[in-house]
Amino acid sequence: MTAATPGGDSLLAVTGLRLTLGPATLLDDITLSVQRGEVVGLVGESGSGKTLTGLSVLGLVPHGAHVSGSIRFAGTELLGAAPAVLRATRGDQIGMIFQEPRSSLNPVLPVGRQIVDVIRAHRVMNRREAGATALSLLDQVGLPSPRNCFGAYPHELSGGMCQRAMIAMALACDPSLLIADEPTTSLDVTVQAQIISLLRSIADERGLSVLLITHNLAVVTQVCDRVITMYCGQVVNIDSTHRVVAAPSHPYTWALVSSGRQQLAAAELTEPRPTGPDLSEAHLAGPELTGQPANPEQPPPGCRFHPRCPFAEERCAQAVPEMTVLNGNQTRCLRHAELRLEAGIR
Amino acid sequence: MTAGHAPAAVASAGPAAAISIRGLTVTYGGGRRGVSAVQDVTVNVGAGETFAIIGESGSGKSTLLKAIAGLVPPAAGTVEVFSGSAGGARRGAARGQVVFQVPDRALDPRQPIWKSVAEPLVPRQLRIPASLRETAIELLSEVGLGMQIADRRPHEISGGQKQRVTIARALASRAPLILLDEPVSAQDVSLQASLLRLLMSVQRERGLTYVIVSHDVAAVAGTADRVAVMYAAKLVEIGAASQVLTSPLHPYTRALIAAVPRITAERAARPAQPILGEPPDPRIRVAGCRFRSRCPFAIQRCASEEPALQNDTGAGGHQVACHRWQEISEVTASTSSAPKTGREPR
Repeated sequence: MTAATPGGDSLLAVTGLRLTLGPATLLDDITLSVQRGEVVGLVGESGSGKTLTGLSVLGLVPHGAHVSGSIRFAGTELLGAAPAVLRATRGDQIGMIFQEPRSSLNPVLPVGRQIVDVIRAHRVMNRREAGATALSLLDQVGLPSPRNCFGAYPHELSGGMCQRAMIAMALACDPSLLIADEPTTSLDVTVQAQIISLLRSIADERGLSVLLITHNLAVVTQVCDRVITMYCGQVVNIDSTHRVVAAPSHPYTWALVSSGRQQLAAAELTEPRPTGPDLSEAHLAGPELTGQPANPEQPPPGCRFHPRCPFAEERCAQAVPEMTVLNGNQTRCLRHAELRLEAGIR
Repeated sequence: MTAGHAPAAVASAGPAAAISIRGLTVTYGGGRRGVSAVQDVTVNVGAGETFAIIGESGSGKSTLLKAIAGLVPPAAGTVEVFSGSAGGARRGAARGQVVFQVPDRALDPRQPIWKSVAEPLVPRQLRIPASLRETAIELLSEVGLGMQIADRRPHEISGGQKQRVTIARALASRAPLILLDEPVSAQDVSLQASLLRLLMSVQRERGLTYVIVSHDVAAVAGTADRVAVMYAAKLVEIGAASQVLTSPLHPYTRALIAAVPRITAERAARPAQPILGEPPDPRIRVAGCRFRSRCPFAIQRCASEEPALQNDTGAGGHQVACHRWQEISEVTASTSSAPKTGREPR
């Protein structure tokens, strides 16, 4: 529907995105991209700005927020685009799945009707055709009896079924990008595994790009090709999933991987982590992430992670480190070259 | 319903039983439409023990916790907490304090934090009101919160801090038993670790007994001494945490553990194994084993005969309610194609 991407195949390219709300800078210099057919994870703790980044792409920023920078989707600039352009893009070319499926669905309308409404908002289709499309979507997302679900109200479905219905709705107009914000966080572990494998198979089958926003690194390693790590309103690390797990290039990413690992190891759910060359006992003994995440309204000087970083030096407190690009990955750490953050995999 | 001695036949976990549950059934609604959320549960929890109950939404684990707290009346059977029955003298605070899943809803939004923490002290006159604030601040410092928190209101502090506040409040009454309903599920992984460490250190200092309810095996299993697995109102497996997690016997426990996403470098290396189907509707009574519709090992016998918890598993205190646990263990030991869980030999 839009002009072809001029060169490159970034479906979504966010450059220098900055979002301020009153005196607070909630997003600072966010630069990231999602290629066609790529599944990218966006991770970070609560308050790191990952959800806000996803919402900014859709133009759904808080009232009174000031946004600058550039968000190009399939060659079209979305930032500052006319409301009509945004409306035509949202739900059509970019689908979105939210954390709480039940509160994202309208409780007083049957699920099928809500999907039909989405299709008819974007396509010229009569109710019968749209209904047939909705039914086939409900079938594709693996709902056990699509016909019953079509006429069911959200309260009649389980949490996992609601999330499947939400995914069906997000796919209704065959988008090229799906933004999934914590799609499994409110679900049972068993249902989470179902939804993870569903997302992955949909992405593979349709060649869909997915931006998966989550705080759960294990989920990310299950489905993503690349991982973007955010901390306190900044992107601090972008790397392939393989390297994030094997040898993270930013201490924060390393700490996230480690705390996830330690939890699994404590529950005897995974092999114990072998010691890396530069890991002292102290680092292995407990999760490195002590203290509270930095507050983006009053960010600490210098590297925002330095107050919690076990490797921080004096210079880390002085200036915000620039994003360094090294063989395909990016890191915002002054000491990335000297640190060997091997998380140790088999 | 009076205080009585535990029959020697019931397998006890420790020297003294903190909680003794005998044939407990809890029913919501009456007559033909009544739903048993907990059915015929018999279990003992030893003093000073950390006892985890895991299962999916709707398995009855929270209801079991409420029954221990005396918040729901038993339809049949007895619950004794420190040898005082639900209707007896030990009620309320002395019986056990509950820490709920969502701290937002557990704290009064209009009260300063210290008042919420001190609330359990007021009706019991443990402290004269003038020193209440000091006591609250002492409790807050015990959970790692500074006194500047005391005069704030819940919306002014972070989610992790709120959960610490609810833990401080649970400690206020000096109850020997703390009941935790999904204490860390709403938190970031990095915060989960520090909250669990806090809970463990408080337990050591005060000799507390914990009952933790969670759907997330990874989050709580590392801290538990014993684990009970609940499915559709029944206990299906119970035993020492190391046994249940590393060598689960029930197909449901296996599936539950296999569903936990691991951190992997290769995306497809160890995918979380989704468990098929949805948990059964508690309103529909099924004959035989309740898990059989989702069980890959179900046979004719599973449909006709409901398995009881068996004690003779060879490992002390490890009980399982499955007709075929022995065959399944043999099959999965010889071939690794079946749901593979637990720690791998290195």
